[in-house]
Order: sequence, then structure tokens, then C-alpha cells
Amino acid sequence: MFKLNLKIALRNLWKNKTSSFINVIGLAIGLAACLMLLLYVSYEWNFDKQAKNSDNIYMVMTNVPGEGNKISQTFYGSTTALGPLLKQGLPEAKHVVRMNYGEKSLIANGQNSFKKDSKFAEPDILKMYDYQFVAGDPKTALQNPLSVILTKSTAKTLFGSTDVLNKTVRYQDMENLTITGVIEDLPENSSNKFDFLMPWSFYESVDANAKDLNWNNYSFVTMVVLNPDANIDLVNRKVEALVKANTPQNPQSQPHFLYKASKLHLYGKFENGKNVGGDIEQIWLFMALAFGILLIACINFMNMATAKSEKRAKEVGIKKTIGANRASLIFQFLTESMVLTLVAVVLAIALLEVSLPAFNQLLNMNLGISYFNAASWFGILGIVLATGLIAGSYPAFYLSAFNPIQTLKRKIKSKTILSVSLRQVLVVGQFCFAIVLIISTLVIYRQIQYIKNKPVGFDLNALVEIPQDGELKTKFDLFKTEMLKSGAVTSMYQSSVSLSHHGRNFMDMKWDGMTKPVNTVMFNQVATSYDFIKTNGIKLLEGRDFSKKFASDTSGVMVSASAAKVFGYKNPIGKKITIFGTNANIIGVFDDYVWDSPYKSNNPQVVYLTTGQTGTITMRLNNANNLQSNIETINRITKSFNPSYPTEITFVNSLYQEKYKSEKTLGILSNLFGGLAIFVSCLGLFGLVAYSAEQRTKEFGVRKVLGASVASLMQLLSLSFIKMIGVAIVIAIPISYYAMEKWLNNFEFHTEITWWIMPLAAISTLLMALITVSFQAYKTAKANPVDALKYE
Amino acid sequence: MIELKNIEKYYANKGVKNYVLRHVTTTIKQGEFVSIMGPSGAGKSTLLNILGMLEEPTYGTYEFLGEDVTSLNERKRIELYRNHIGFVFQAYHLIDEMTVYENIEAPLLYKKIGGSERKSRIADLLDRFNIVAKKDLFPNQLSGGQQQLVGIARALAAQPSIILADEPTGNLQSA
Repeated sequence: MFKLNLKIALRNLWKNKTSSFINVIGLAIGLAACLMLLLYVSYEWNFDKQAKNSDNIYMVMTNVPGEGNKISQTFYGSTTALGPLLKQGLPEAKHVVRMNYGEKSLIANGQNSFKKDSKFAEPDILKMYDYQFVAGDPKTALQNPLSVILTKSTAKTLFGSTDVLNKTVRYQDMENLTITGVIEDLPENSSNKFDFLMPWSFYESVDANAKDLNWNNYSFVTMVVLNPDANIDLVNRKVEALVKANTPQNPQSQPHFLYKASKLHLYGKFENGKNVGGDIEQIWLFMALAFGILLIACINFMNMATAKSEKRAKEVGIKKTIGANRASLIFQFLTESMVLTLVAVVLAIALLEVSLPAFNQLLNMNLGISYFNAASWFGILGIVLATGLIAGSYPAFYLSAFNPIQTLKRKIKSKTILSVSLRQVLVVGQFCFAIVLIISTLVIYRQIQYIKNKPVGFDLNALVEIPQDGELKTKFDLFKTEMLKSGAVTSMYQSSVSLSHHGRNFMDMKWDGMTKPVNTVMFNQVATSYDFIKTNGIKLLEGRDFSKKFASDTSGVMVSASAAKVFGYKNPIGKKITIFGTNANIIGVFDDYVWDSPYKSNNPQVVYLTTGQTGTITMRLNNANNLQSNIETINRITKSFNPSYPTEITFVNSLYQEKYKSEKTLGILSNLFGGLAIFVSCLGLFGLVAYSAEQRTKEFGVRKVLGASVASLMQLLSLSFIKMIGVAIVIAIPISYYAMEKWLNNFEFHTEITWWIMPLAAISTLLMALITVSFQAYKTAKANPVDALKYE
Repeated sequence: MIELKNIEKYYANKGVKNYVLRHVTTTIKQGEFVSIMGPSGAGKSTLLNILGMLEEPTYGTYEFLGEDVTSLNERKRIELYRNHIGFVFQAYHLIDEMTVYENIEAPLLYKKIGGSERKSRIADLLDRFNIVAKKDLFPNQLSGGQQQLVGIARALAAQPSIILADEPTGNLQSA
């Protein structure tokens, strides 16, 4: 029986080429979109879940108290003193590992030098994560301070092979390290990623702050592996008590808690110390998009199947009279939808393979189907089964329920809900989804444009920065002189952080006339050299830039307009503030500029003059020369100072582009999948109109013979479909208005939903539907009535 | 084998009862060959449909093989279709997507008859109806008469106890 069902299914596919084509193409697009988004979702979902005991790995989080007993910020930094305290006083902790955030550092094998992601960590990191050792012993690999573990690809880059155990590499052109281990490359979707790993004991000699056990520098990361049976709430209460008992408490004290490390990536947004979601919202959105498009394709299948019900009904009737029961008929229809889905999935995988490179490039990722992984095949199979069932079940139950005598007498009534057929409801639903997507795409696009067009507060063009490595730290003044002499740059400065940075927030700030005993407003700090304002072109509202003419500028400070507002100074110039216990005089007030998220107002900022804090060199290129020669000159001079370091010139412009990344991704995806949704919906509509036209060939022939015009016939065929789109528009507009209003309210700075977006989306959808429908309608209406009448 | 008692059938239309059958009482025994004749609209097809359990009478009782089948559930009805009743329709009603062979085979598949038995029965029928050469053709490749032969062969395939044929020659040209 199954064989016969399969045969009939294939014959049906072949016989009804138009509808099969529409179904297969629609389903293939739906499945490809679904698989693509699911690849993305599984990549994000499995973030930091590679380790066997990832469920027991916790990150120490820190709450920053703000105004009114609230928590203003939650971040995953901690102090050096916390780790040893937890190790000692928390019996539930199996391992406690301190590490740094990780940074790009120079690693060299002789002349072969590269800047790679480095990390320092305590040896227990090798017990926390089950890294796959290609060479070396995890028990001893990080015991010696001058040891290093390389990833396989780093070893290959440096040495051309992975057989590098006990060879030496040079770190930051300052220390030789012995390779004690080579591990498999870490997966892309892990937060603790590095190219080489060094022991904490070595870090203590690199960074004095790491050696000093203190409770006020939160520049480190502490991770804890708890026993599997530990109760996290209980543990967190213990951690709080432990820290309280061992540190002096004041209103600025920052309480800690443990948070599952594998959750941090997707559930990383905290408000008042409590998790309020995070990127997981985007994941849900993408899942909804993926299944939405698949559902649209399934609806096409259902609609085509039920539209053809009259044809199939006869078959059902006959089969029932020769002994078929309902189950066997349901099984037959499901077989048909499964066969169709199988054909579609083959096409979908081909589509996916063709479009993945472009998709990866768009999202700057490296996704791919692992064909040798059983899980991915189970996933695909699962989706095929689900799709086949969803698409096939309604037609199967609907068709198999036909009464034989009615079908044989050709008296079929389609099922109705309040005199509206389910098919109409489905078409309306399809187009609703598509219109919501169009409107969302428009609003997201406008929001991105709005933020992009919002001035950042300085001239981004011709501004570049390079990391301040090696000799550039100590010989900055000489470097500056040579650079200016070369004419490649017009002005430059060094600073502790890049113009586009996130960190360096602090609260230890006092000013005259403070109303509270202790400050609770979060400030941001930048340590810089001369020519800060001159180079970046931030607008100076009052006072002046740091200048060599004033020796007193070493204790001077420039503050942002919002900082001046917090201080409440009417004439801030010359007024005194105290930063980390050191007095400073305000010499200038500059306009607020965007350094953190462009979507919200950034913290008030203070900029002070110091030569001690290095990090980034920012340069304004000389517009008189061409870009190429400027870059070459910078390269040449930098190389002469730092021969062993590669030169990394970054355009500040591109750093700011990064800030729009997540919204841009959203824009790209909603654009792409919105377009696909519309296409698949129109494909379905085309199928329905084509079928309806075929059914009414005779009627049209008769009407034409009676004198109906082409226009009136087109209207007859199109009107009912266009009405459905109209209903979809009416339903979709308020839904999308509500959803987008809510989305925009996530941003402090946001655009408004302008009135023309709705009519634009409505008209464009209507137009597309009209083109789809009228093509077929015109063909039918123009047909020679003789053919139509002969056809019967 | 078939016993009809006081069968009535009407269609209600705007409160008016349109009787199609009234007081039909008859007995048909095994082996009998019965023709129902009458003018158009006399209710021949309705009676046949009731006999074939495709429609239910409004009143009256219908016993098939000594069992009251006036209102039967679908499962039992399908059981009777599989084992006891063969239909031949005026409009042939072959399944367009199946070949001649498959059309004849279908009732046997539903009856779960083994492969070799199936093959021999179909071969025999094809032979008897002289349509061996047509066995791989689809219904739309056959003439009306040939389609009706296939329809009859299909009705006979399951070796039913009764064959209900509604104007089996109505659509055929007279020779």
C-alpha cells in the first residue's frame, strides 16, 4: 500500500506541475530560511556550553550601587582578593580560577611575530574547561610561570607544525616562554577564547596590579566551578556574607554574586542587579522569523491542497467505496506532503550551501552545516517531519473526512468559520506576517539611519588609531615629533583608552557643594596627553585644551558638559574636583560625545593629563596628502620604533560602525526574511489564483461569449484576493505599530514611526499582490472563449 | 441477504418534504439478479445508495446479511465494503492517478490480500475482460467502454457478495 501511495504521490507531483513547483519552491525557501536561522540560533544557543561541566561553571558578577539604594550596573569584573577568599571560605567551590579579560599581545618565534589573543589564568582553568590537548600534560602545563599553551592554529602560524612542545616563543618582545601544551582551537562561540594561554603566576610579573591582593581594582575575572549538587541561592548568600565579613563596608562597596557562565552570553542584561534577558530576545525573534517563513510555505501547501479538494474528493469517495478507511487516506495524504517536503529539503540544503557564504559575510560569522554530525541530520529530519506533518495534516484530515456520496455527486462545501473559509483566513494570516515584516524593516532601517545621522560629537573622518605597544609606550614624544615632521598627520595624542571604549567607569569623585556624603553617579575617565581636543575635534564649550604653556595642567582636568551639570557648577572653569583622592582643577568643558553605546546617553566624563597611562595613539591624518601615502608613512615610522610588532591602523570610523552591528544584523535579517516572506506569500497567492482561474475557465468562456469585457473578468477574478490583502493590511498595521513602538522604546535615543511608513508598506504589498493576481487574471480573461468551452 | 422494510427517504426543502422513496419493502436473496427500473427521478439511484450504505434512509430498517445496517458506524461500513459490496458507477469513477492494474488492485490492497493471490486474481480479471494489453494505461487513455470494463473488473476483484451497479451502461454508446 505504501508503495502505491508513494507512486501516486509522485505522479500527482508530476501531473500538477504548477502547484508542485509553487509548493516545492515555497517549502524549499521556507526550509532554507529556517535551517539558516536555526544554524545561527544553535550557534548562539550553544555559546559557552562546550565544556562537559558547563552547567557548574559560574562567573563572579559585581553589582555597582547607584542612587537610591538601587544597583546601577552589573558587570563580570572582580578583584584579585576575591578568588583566594572564595577558595578558602566556600566549600561548594570545586575550583576557583582568576584570569584577565584577555587582550591582543605579541607572540613571536624568532622573526615570525604576530599579535594574537592572549589570556592569563590560574592553572585550574585546565580543570574547569576540558581543552583537547594535542601535546603536553594538562596537569603540569601551567605550573611553571614561564610557560605557555598554544592553540593548534597558533602553533601552525608560528612554527608551521603542531610538534612544538618545549620550544620557546617570545612574549611582547620581553620574555621567552616554553611551550608546555598545544590544544585544539577553541570553538568560535566561546567567550573565553584565546590563541595562547599563560599562567597567572607570570601575569603577576607582567602587571603589578595582578600581584597586589586588593579589593578595589575590578579589572580581573573570577570564575568558579561549583559542585554539581550546590544550591546557587545558598552559595550566593554565602558569598555575600563572606565578602562582607572580610572587607570594610561603605556605600560604594560592590556586592558579588555567582552567575552561570553559559547564560551570560544570551542572558547578559541586568537591571537593578536582576537579570532582565539580553540577546536571547533576538534569538526568540529570529526563531519566530524562521518558523514564520516556514509556516507561510506550509500555508501555501495547505491552501493549494484544499483548493484542489474538489479534484481529490472524487478519489476519496471512490476509495472509501472500495474499502479504504480514514486512517489509510490520512496516511496517503501525509505521504504526499512528506514526499514534497523531502524534495523541498534537498533543494533547501542546496540553496543553503549556495547562500551561506553570503550570509556569513553579511553577519561576519562562520556558520556551516556539519554533515558528519548525527545531530544535524536529526535536526533536519525533525524539521522535515514537522513541516510535512504541519503542511499535510490539515489537508489530510479535511480531505479524508469527505462523505463518499457527496464527493461522487460533486457536492462539496468548504469548511467555514463565520462564513469565511479557512483558506481565506490563512491567506490573510500570511500577508499579515509579511506586512508586519515590511513595516519592521522600514522602522529598523530608519532607527539605524537616525542613530547614524546623530552627530557623534567630533569629526570621524581621517581619524585613525594604533595600539600603543612596545617602544611606543616609552618613546611617545619622539614618535610624535617624527610623525608630525613626516607630514602624514596634523596632530596626535596618546590616551588610556580608544575614543570608542566601554570601560574605565568609576565613582570615587568629590566636588564642592556635594549634597551626599559619597558620590553615587558613575563617571568615565580618560587619561591623555597634549592635543586631545585639537586631534579629535570634540567641541570645546568653555576653557581650553591641555597645553604645554601651562605647567599647572598636570593637575588640570577637562570635563564633559554632563559632568559639569552633575557638579552643579555655574562657571566650572577653575573649580576644584577630587578624583581618587587627588585634587584637580577644571580647565575646560567639552561637549558630550559618543564613546559608549550610541543609543543612550553616555556617563559623564573627565579627561586628565598624565604620561603614565598608555593604551592607544589617536592621529588626525593630513588631508593634503593622499590616504595611501599617509598610511604608508605611519606604517614605516611605527615599524622603525617597533620592528617586532605588526602595525595595526584602525579607522575610528570603522570602530563606530561596530556600534551599530547588532541593530544592523537585525535590519539585514528582517530585510532578507521579510523579502522572502513576501515572495513565498505571493507565490502561494499566484497558485491560488491560477487554480481558481483554471476552475472557472468555462464560466469565463460563457461570460465572454455573453459580452463581458477583459477588465470586468479580471476584476471578477482578482477582487476576492485583493480584498483578503486589504483585510491583512488592516490587521497588520496596528500590530506592527504596537510592536515597533515597543522596540523603539528600548532605546533612549530613537526615531518616531512616521505616518508614511504604514501606507508605504500597505501600498507596496497591495501592488505586489495585484501584479501577482492580475498576471494570471489577464491571461485567463484574454483566453479565447472557444478553447474554454471546448475544454469541457 | 437484503431485507428492506418500509424504507422512506425525503429531502426537506424550506419546510417542504420532498419524498424520493416511500414504503419500499423488499427482500433480495443470494444469487438473485435484480433490476430496478423507473423513469428519471423515480429514486432508483437513491435506493441503490441506501443499499450501498452511502446514504441513510429517513425511516425504515435495512438488514444486510441478517444484520441491521440502517445506521452503521464508519468502521463497520468500511468492513462491509471491503468484503461484501462491489460498486459499479455510471461515470466509472476510476482513480485517475492509478493505472488499470492499480485500479483493480486497490480493493485487494485494502482487503489485505497477499501479493501472489492479488497477482493471480488481477491477471485472471484482465484476461477475462480482455484488457491485458491495457493494464499499464491510465483511465484517461481509455475509451468509455474500456473504463467501464475496468470499473466492473475492480468491483469483481474483491469477490464481493453483492454488486451494486447504477446504470452501468448509461454512459456507453450502444453497439
